[in-house]
Amino acid sequence: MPQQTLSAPTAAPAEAERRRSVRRTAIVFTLIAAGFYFGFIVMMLVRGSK
Amino acid sequence: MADELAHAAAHDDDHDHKPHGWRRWVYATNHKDIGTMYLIFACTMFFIGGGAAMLIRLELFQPGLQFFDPQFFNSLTTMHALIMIFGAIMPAWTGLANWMIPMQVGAPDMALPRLNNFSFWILPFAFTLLLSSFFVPGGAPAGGWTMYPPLVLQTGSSFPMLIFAVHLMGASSILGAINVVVTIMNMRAPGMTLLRMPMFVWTWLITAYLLIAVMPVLAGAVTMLLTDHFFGTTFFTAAGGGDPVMFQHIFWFFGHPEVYILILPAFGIVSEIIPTFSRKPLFGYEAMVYAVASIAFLSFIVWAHHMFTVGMPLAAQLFFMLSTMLIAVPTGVKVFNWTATMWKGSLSFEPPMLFALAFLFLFSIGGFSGLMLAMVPADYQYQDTYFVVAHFHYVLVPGSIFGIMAGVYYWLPKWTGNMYDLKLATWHFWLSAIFVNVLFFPQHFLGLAGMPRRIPDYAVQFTDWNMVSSIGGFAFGLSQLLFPYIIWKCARGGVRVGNKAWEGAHGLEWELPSPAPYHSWTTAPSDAVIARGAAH
Repeated sequence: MPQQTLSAPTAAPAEAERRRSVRRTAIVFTLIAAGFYFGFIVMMLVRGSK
Repeated sequence: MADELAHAAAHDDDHDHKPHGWRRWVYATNHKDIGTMYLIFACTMFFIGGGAAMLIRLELFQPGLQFFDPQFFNSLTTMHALIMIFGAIMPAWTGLANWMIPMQVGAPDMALPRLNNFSFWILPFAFTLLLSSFFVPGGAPAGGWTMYPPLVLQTGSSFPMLIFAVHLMGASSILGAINVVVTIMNMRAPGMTLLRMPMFVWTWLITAYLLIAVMPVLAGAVTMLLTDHFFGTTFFTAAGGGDPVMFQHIFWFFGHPEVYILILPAFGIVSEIIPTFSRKPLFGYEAMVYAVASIAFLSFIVWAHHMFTVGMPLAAQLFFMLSTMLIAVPTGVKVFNWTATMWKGSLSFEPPMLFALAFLFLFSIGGFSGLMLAMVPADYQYQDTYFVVAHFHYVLVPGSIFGIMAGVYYWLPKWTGNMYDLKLATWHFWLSAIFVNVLFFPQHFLGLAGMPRRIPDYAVQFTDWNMVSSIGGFAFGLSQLLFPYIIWKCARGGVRVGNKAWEGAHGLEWELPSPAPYHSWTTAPSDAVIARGAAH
């Protein structure tokens, strides 16, 4: 099974960048989900108050 | 120094070091372990939901009230739907995603393993809560899985259990979907570009986007039901100035994309299996990706076709009718491409291919009856009849369920390292394929003749086809017992398979040994390996 291994000096920054990217993507999509949840409730409140 | 080296060797990532006993499962962070737990959970729920379905068919075997009072019958239909949708099909897809996505994109695991553990372990609590509602005063929820107010607000003590269970299921799905998106966006091996990804990964990526967009909408809707019931709000209560029809709009804004959440991963699996057993690359890979994305987009703008009879302006009816019919275009692209993949291929008919072909034919029947229901004047006739029941069961049983079974039979040798009993699996296929039609096809006739859905009793002229349908239901249900038996037998042993269990298979998962090692791609696969896998 041919494989490529990142050399140690380049692997650490790449891994750190990947961790940051994972965290960023997770937070963005969590906020999107929360936005849909609260958005629909707020939409109903606004509609009901008219 | 020697101790450090010995310690490093003992914790080398390349070997199958794993926890043992109950800790392996309760504290699981390995994507394969969590995938296995999801699949076992889904299979359990499939049989519980299937048991409810057989009780429903038992009651409907002949006219008159035979076994259950109408309230309990309504609980059975409600719980059957909730269990099958949220307990069987969705967890089964998440289980397959857990098992396959890291292996298919060249990643060592899912991006967020602890979140993965949490999103699975929410489910047993959610369904314990939901199923225990059978034993509280007033019985289990009986207002239908759609939970329309004001009917659902009349639910007894089980109402908060229903709402909390739905919240938990939704949270589990959203967390699972976030994990899938994060994994695909960040954990792909270098060289695994988006347009080299296997179709199963593509369909799951799009499914995950749908889940993140619509599950919170369902959660918002049921939160408002909860406050209407307990805190004096009147979001959906007409007496207080609320609008019950608005609930239907919000519910179906979730509900229609939900249908695609249940079926899109099946498109991905069929797009993997048909090329393998046709020994040809998938015809029109990019067109397939764009077709799936188009279907997902359109799913957001068709929701009101579920409620044509509620009374809406003509312009809205026309819009929702035409946008719904538009979905036939990308769906047609997919069916054409699957057929073109088989054209002049070197076909063989192992169980995964049989299930994929049955999917192709029978899902198309469900699609065609969907087109009939999309037409407003016809829908006025079909609304709330058994025709609708036949339609969505053709989409969900030979569609989603056959897709899951095709996927399990396709990847089971990779998971276990053993080939399963092909003869028994072929028997499972034929029994399923025959009796699913005996079960659901007569329901088209019943619906066209005017039999309403969600009733425990019916007029005598509907007796014959109901009997046929019930016989089909019992036979289909019993034949499903073969499925866990075949898997159990395969897990215990069988003919060993190599890396590539199927001659025509392509993809990174087939580059790994069988059974797949506990840690998949501890080092990224080379570009040559990725290119070999992406044969489309």
